[in-house]
Amino acid sequence: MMQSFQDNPALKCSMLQKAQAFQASGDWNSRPVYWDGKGGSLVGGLLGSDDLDQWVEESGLPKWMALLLDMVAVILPSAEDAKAAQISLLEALPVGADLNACGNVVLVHFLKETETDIASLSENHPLRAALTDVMALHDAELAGKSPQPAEWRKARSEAIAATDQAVPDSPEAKFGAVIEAAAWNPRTSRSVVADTFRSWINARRDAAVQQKVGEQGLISFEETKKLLDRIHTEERKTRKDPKEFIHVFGILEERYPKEHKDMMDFHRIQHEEAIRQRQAAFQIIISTLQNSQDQVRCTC
Amino acid sequence: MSTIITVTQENFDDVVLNSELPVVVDFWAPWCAPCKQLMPILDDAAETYAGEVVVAKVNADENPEIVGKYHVRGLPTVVLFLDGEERERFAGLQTKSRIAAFIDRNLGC
Repeated sequence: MMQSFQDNPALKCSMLQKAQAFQASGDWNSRPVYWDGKGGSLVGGLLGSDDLDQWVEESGLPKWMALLLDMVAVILPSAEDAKAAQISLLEALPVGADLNACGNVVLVHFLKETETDIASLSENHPLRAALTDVMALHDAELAGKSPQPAEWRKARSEAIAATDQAVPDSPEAKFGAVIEAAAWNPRTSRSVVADTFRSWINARRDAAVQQKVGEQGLISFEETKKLLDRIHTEERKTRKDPKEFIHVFGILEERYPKEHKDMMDFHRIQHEEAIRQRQAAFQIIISTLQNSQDQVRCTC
Repeated sequence: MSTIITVTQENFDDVVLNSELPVVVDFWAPWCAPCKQLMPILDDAAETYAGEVVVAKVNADENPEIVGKYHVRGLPTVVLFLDGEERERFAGLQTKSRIAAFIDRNLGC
């Protein structure tokens, strides 16, 4: 059985110290699971390589955790936020726990949240069935029943088929992507937790943005894009030089002030929601880790 | 260790076009954030399909000839080659499930 930090609080302290020193060294970058011999990702820096078998052997942590730690750095907008989030994640990891199963628990949490998010869909909507099937596989894995690869494949196919019935890029389709992303066993598929984490943030952000755009009576992003295209086409006809730059946003602001204000409001809401949903996703992971059995906090 | 093979102008024909296995080629660039997110997912997929599919990556900045030849207009773009011919492509970040479905379709699964 895998034991996080080899059941050794001193190893956790030493990894945390090494992580902070590496982040401060200037050799840190946001490319996940990367090491070029001098610099790289946090995981690359901790290992001095990109070998995830070495990660498991040395840290007692699962591969999905390595990917999640490094993927956080690409998802967050600033390097400082990303570095702080990586340290928070490392700090939240319990010592001496088998975190293999924790991946399934994290995924079940994201799926339960998604179940609430798609609650307004009809009882027999295929996305509901797909979500139930994927959640059942994670529950079976947690119960020690080890579903067969063919069962996971079937669940993935059904999730994709259900998503494809939704309007492309709609919140429904984005929640479908969460179900698709979660349809792998984290014991054998190291990217599943990070992939689901990212898909869930995007789905929640887009659903919240759509709701607020509707509530505030803002022009939709698609309508704004069509208007910008129309401005570009009309302006192009009036210019003699076909290569002349057309400042469509300036024209939008000057001639269509209401539409310009709506576009700015849309981007502000999208930015705020991205921050809010990243925090929510991060909280799900941190609280799941903190609730893991045999937790021992690092006191260094 | 990453199982994705780095491909350049020099070895593209050998690794991609003359391969006996289907080859999934990821066109990426170091400045492209979605490319950074996609690569570990592709690496995971490469392990899942080890022995059935080869996964390769082309740095678009360093290999403009290949980018031009295959009309790559956005990054990341992922192209599946079979018997030296392009069979299918997608652009942008995708879940591993979508990538698996993309490979399965072309393996005849």
